[in-house]
Amino acid sequence: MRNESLWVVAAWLLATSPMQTSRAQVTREVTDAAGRVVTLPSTVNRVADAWHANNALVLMLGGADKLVATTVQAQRQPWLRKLYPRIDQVPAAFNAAGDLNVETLLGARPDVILMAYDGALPRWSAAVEAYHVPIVLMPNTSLEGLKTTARITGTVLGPREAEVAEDYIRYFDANIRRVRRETERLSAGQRPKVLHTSSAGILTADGLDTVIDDWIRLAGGRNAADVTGNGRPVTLEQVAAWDPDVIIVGTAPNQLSRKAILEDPRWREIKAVKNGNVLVNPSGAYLWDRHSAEAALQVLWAAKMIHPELFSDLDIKRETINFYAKYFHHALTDDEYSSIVNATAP
Amino acid sequence: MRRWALIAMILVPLAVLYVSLFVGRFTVPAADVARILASRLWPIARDWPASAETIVLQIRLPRAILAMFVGAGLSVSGAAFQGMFRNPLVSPDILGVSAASGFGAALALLLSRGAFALELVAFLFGILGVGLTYLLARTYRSTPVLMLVLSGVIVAAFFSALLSGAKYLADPDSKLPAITYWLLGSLNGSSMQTLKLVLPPIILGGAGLMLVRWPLNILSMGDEEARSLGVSTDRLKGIIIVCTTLITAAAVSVCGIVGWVGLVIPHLARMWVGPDHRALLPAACSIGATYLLLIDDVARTASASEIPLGILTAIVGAPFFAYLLRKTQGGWQ
Amino acid sequence: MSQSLVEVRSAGFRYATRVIFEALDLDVNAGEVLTVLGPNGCGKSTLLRCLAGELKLSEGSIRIDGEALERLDAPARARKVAILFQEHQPTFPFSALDVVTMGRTPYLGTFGAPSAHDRQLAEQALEQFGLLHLKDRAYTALSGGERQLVLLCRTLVQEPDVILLDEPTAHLDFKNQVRCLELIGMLAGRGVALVSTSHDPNHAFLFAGRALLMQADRSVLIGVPSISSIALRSRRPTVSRSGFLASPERHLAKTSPSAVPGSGCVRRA
Repeated sequence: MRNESLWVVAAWLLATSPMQTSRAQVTREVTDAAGRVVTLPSTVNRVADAWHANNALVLMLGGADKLVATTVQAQRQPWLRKLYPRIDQVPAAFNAAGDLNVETLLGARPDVILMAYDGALPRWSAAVEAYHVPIVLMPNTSLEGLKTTARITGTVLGPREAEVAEDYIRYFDANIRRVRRETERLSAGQRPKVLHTSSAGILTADGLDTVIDDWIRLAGGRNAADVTGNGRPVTLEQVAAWDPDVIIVGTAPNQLSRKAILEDPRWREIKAVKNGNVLVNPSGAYLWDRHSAEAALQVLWAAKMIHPELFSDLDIKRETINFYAKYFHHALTDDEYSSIVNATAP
Repeated sequence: MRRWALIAMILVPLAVLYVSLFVGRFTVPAADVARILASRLWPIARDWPASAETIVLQIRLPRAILAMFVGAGLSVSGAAFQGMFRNPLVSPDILGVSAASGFGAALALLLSRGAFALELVAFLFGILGVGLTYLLARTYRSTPVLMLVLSGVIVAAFFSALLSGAKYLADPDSKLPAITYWLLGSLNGSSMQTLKLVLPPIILGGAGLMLVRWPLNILSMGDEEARSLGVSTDRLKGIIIVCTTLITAAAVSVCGIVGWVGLVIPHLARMWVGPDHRALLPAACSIGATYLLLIDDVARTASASEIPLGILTAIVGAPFFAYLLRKTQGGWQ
Repeated sequence: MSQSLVEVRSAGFRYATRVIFEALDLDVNAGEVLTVLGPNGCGKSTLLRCLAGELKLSEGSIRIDGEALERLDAPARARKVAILFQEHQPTFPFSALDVVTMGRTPYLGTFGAPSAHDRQLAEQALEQFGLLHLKDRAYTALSGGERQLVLLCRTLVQEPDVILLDEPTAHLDFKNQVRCLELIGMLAGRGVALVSTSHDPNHAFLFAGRALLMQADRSVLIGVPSISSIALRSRRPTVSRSGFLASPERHLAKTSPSAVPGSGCVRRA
């Protein structure tokens, strides 16, 4: 009898040992923005993206077919739907408030979840980690952070996507260098005051320590708003006191807001309005001005708008068309380009 | 009412209005402000920058006037309701106007329809909310106070739920913050245009309330007693509800939800002139106008980023109310 | 004979299916004080509210000084009938003078306010009742008795033809009870018709008027009370009913003639 049990044990050991060794080979490790070392399977085929803006990046890097769960906001971006019609069928496990429907998410059986890192773990991380689904957090508060995000996303998705990410980062860096070359020698006096505002119902300004502040400065401007953070409510009088030279209207309904500003008698005396320098920020697969993959284009666009005299040879249209062709595999028509740069629906 | 009290009631708000035009984040020398104002009355050579004139006449002046009318309107509505409901803890929101108006505003923001539509929809929803409350409260022949209060609670809860639904659907990058800030209260959107829209209902409602000050005294003794003295209580309550709703819906539509004004100012006014509504309503108007004007001056000047009105009125109003409570030992005398 | 100030004909009132009183005929003349007696819950207050026009009769009619009560609008009704309720819950500290001035409201019109003359009338009323010292005191700070007297003053300035009083001496101390009854007598002396409910059968004897006895079986007896028949041991008017009102002028028997009194204790008015 003892012999038999010995045989059973031996047989079992034999049977399981290959699995054990192969299991040791099927994981890899990634360090995320929160400094956590996350263990991932070596091939990732199912990705849940909890960060609205990042969904476009996933698409861009070529990983769109791996997307198995997304956010409600991403699904609603008109250009994202156009470039990637399948996104309608992808279950939206994450809603606008940042809450998660755990069952929807787990039903999609993701290998990994991508999420933005704002200093704290998301509320639902404990619930998800109980099911052993790894979460990778990525930075979202600066232009440099966007590059890291692209790199981490590429790494998570796989070698092919990682390569595209490196290519994108090179392109991004090239754009930044190109712009910085002209703007870094500008003195404070030569930098126009730029106000980036959303006025969907309430007048707000995007101030210091934001992605927006980053590209304003890079593009050779100064942030007109001396408040800190995104979307701070300000009075019209305060805006008049800042007297910006350029006003950029971000976030829908951009055209409506721009029109309201140009027609409102109270804005009339502000320099930007007097000079007709009220612009609408382009919006494509995601809003260009807010930590999106198209930030690489945003820096070019902003530079051209703020310092047209320094960038007369910069053709935003050509850059956009090339970008979309290369990364989204989509040939933009004139009308489509128009709708992106004017932030209207395609 | 003593003569000096009457004079103070008129002069103090006007004085504060005048002073408010001199403060703000945009630096306009005091002499310029004075001359800009004077130039409206008689011709003066223009030697100040056009931007200064825009600031004083197009931004500060409409905003200050609006603050006064909203403050006065909310206070007089609160006073009238406290008399009608015979309860000093009542505020103008009790019939659900703020919750309904808030939902209307959220809806307009979600649909991105622009500032005018926002005010109109918020106003109409405010009226709708109170209308629903009134219909719900109407029993066989009358609208007893208890039914009004309960119906108001129900309608407010319903619209609050709808509002939460709207917030849930809102885009967190643009719409949700807009809704949130709107709900906190702000006179950000004031302009001459807004004045033309919002002042008529407030003035109309206010005039209506002023006309029924004496019957309101009687009503505040109790429904049955009022009827025995010949007051048609249902008709009077209807008039009061219509007037206060006009005022409050207009105020909320332009200013968001500003609490603790309609609740606290009537108490101050009562402490000053007594419970007779003939003196109480004008006193509430005057104190309310001055109060909200001062608060708004702080809200728009204290920091670069505007402080929402609702936060300031709560921070000032709640502790002050607690002080009143302690002082009167709950006696409201 | 001139018509009575209050003429009630075939009046009945019911809450849904519960009958409070029915087929009631009643006349009250100027200067008369009618005391309404009956056990708790028999409908005394309801009857009073019907007389005030606060409740609408289910059947029958009430005429005040020849005019049908239900055809009068609220101010006209208030000029004819004043009612003093049992319960007061004042919230705001109006002065006693303000409260009495409120009695002038039926004469002011929808948006009117009292004039100096109205305030003068109010002050005079307080003076006549010896209450001028209370004039500027907060009504909410007065004792129950003082409030009651102030309200009686208010009924005076209301200048009605009829005054209805719901348990006017309940919750009053003895001294104020006496004052109250004195004031009622004074009002009667001015030609007002008064109808007063009471728990205390004694009150029926204080004035030279009749008593109306509402009984639990919904029958109503009206007549002049006789002292010899009263039993003072119990406070409930179920006391010696059969002897209290003998041979009443009108009686409406819903039930058995056991309610009909026996040997003569009544004096016809």
